[in-house]
Amino acid sequence: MVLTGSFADATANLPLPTWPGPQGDTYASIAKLPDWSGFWAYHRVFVGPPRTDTGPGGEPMFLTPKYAAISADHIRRRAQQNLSFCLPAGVPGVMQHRLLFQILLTPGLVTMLFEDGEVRRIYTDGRKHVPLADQIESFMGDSIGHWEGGTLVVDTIGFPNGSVWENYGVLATIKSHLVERFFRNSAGYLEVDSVLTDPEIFARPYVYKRLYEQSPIPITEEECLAGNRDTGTSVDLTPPPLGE
Amino acid sequence: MLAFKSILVPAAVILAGVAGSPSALAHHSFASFDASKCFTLSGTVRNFEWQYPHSWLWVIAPAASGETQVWGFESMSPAQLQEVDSRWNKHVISIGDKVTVTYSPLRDGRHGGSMGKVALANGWLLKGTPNACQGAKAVFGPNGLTGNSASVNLPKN
Repeated sequence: MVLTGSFADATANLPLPTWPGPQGDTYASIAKLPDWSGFWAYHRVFVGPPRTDTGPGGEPMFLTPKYAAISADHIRRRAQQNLSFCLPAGVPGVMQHRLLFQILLTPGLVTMLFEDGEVRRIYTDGRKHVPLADQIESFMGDSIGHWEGGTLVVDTIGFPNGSVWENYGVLATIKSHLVERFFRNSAGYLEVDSVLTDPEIFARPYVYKRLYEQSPIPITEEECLAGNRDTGTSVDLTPPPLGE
Repeated sequence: MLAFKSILVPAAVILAGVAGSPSALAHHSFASFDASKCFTLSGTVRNFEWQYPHSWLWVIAPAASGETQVWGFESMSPAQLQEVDSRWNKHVISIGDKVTVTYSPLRDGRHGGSMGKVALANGWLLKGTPNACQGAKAVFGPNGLTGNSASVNLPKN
């Protein structure tokens, strides 16, 4: 499905600003950027079961009446979302699972590899967004980024298949726009400050931050489909062969 | 890298504290199970599937009729299980082991459930899916082995 129309097209012909400092366009430039190697794990904060007025980090969340009703119904039914069907969580939900991830820097590109096989590609080579009308509907969307010193600023559009938060019943729409700022905070965490806007979903911009810590356990392969017996709607109770 | 060391220990403590949260392990699908019910079943391990996306424990247990039945218990991914109880690994349960499982049953009545805890012969009580057996006290059954199961005392830890 080809996506059509949005606010993003209005800025498509404007030149992007030129950012001072290293932008990671060469390996020499990458060497001047922060070292975010290793495996990162979501630093979870328990705030209780899903609610329609509070995000999973405890921050206020102002859903429109339409989406508040959708979410309330979803939570009441314990309905399932992307990951339970072995679909990618997508943007922004993938940033909030106990899925370890890596951040790889190559010239002009920041790549995030998640434990379940999801990949985020953030182009830092100065390109603009692909116009929404030319994009293919996706889970991860179209991400462009730039560096402001030690902070990676990422702008993402075009992720209508992405889950906002698993278990909350809210999927992104074609109008969703995510801006994230990745940086190491004073406590040593990788912090991501995010602003998610979508006039369909949110009555006002949804502002939240998430923290990540270094994991002592390396990434393992977490393929979902091959061994999945439970789709949330049916459970395969055929036992494996004896002796296995 | 020194900064990492200072946060690793408190992070682990925090994780242990939230392991029982119902929404924390979002990948787990719980729609097929009835969390308001909690049963225990004792039997012999037929298979232990330590796998993604979810691990499964298969148990052979005698039915009231005297015949044996195969029960399937769903749990979580290896990484998630190790998060709720660090003693979990691929070899912690072997074929032929005697186990007692607490579980929330499948809503459709088939021989399966979501595994809350599993007691091993060595005295360990391993934590499983936090959603299972929430708010429900374990009762013995429904395989009719009240007399047999009642003699099993679940260890505290």
